[in-house]
Amino acid sequence: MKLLNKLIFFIIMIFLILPLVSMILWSFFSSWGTENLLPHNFTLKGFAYFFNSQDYIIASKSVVYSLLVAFISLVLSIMLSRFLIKTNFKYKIQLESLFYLPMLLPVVSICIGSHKMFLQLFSGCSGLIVILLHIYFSLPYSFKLVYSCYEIWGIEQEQVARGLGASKWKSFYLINVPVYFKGYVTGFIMAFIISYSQYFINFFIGDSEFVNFSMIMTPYITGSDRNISSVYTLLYILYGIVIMVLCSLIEKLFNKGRNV
Amino acid sequence: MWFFLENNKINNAILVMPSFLIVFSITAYVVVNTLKESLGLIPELFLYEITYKYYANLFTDKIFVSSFLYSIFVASMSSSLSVVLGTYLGYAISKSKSSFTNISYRFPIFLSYVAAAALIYNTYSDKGLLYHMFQFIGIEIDSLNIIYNSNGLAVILLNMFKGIPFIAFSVYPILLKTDAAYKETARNLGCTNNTYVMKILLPLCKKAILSSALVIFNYNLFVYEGFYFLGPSNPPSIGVLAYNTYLNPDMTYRAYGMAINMIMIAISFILCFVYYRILKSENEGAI
Repeated sequence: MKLLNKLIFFIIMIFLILPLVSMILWSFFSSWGTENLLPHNFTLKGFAYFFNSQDYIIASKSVVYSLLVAFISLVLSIMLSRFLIKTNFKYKIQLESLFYLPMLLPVVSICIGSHKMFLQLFSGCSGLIVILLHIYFSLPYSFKLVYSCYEIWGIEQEQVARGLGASKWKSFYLINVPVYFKGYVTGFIMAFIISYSQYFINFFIGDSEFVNFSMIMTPYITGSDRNISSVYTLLYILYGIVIMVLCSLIEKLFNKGRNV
Repeated sequence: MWFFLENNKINNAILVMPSFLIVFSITAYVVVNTLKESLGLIPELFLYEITYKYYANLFTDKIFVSSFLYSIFVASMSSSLSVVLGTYLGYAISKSKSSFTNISYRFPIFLSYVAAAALIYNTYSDKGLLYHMFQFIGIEIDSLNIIYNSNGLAVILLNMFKGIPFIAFSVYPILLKTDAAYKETARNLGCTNNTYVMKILLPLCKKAILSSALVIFNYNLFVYEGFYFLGPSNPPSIGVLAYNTYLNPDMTYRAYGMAINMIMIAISFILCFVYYRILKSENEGAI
């Protein structure tokens, strides 16, 4: 029985890791003949192509837009959580549920359904529309994480600080931020991931200025050049990891600064 | 200073309004406009009469019915497999002390569907990594036909690649906490391993499993990218069909596109309601 359990676990892990191994192998080799056990012809052609074709600019812009969306989503989540934690009214649960709605609504339906409204209201401002729709889909995730922190910790400490004479800003910065910083960073990262991985919004609504990383990858996904598609996927992951590591570093530095 | 703690109406309105406006206005407009256009009220196309014919025609249209059934089949297969394997993985990882497995299984969660589709294509397509592995262990095969076949195997693999870690990630903390709290007590009372898992562990994380299963089922049902890149062109998935119909050069098809869209929204709302009921259900025994 134990052996069977280990075998199932091994198969699941292989299933999850195999595509990542494939990506790493194909990123550095250009061909893999049917008669060969391992790939051959080591190459960095894919990486060179990424930088020579100026796609790195699009990728960087995509990261910057996602950071902006994540920041706005985080601020909105904090505002919303503060509102919900300090008020009590009859339809509070229903209102809270409304903000989780975009998690379950299909991206295709929202984009097609709101297409006309955005064309009428913000014609020519596709950037604003793209950012609004990114926020629409990122907000529930960051809100869920931030609000769960507020539900655990409450705002009583902040209220006590205010009662003891701390100014509004001081009670927020010195009491709230240190307590919730981890939750804020997690909410920010989650919103970033959701926005960074969007494809259909930029594809359907955005113009040539709002091409994101997922979009520049698409021509290579099912193309014959596996090397380039793997390099783009690898770089897509690396860009995301760099941002997540930076966020974790900021969190660590913040906590370290407080301990000193 | 609206950001702080004053509990008056203006401050409260400022705190809640930006998010409310974004979420409520977009959702409400989408629902109203989609319903209106699906009922044939499109003034831009000189259509002014309410009619149910677009819905009636859709349900007798072979392409729509086959694409709807195909999407349901792929979503149910991938979600049920993801739930079973994901829960098992969560349990196995909660018992494992290896930090490598603890980190590596989460990777697919952070990938976009497009990036995940690229990985699945490079691994399972003909002459991909799986083909070479078969060659390596001495199994001679001419070609692998996993991608682009009409049974949607590639899309199921893609959905499972994204879904298994998501389910495992959702149940892992509960299983970890429960295992520490209940295992010894159950053993002392003579509980076997299987009974412990079936009667204690699984009921305790039922809520997390059901809500995560609902999220991935809904996503798998309507996702565009997975079906578009790895699925067959016939039958198309319901999401791809909605998009193609909406963008049909013959503008009269727009109402059909909106009717498909409305059906998708209605299914999502039903799933949202079930999700809401699960979350707000009795917390008895939940961890």
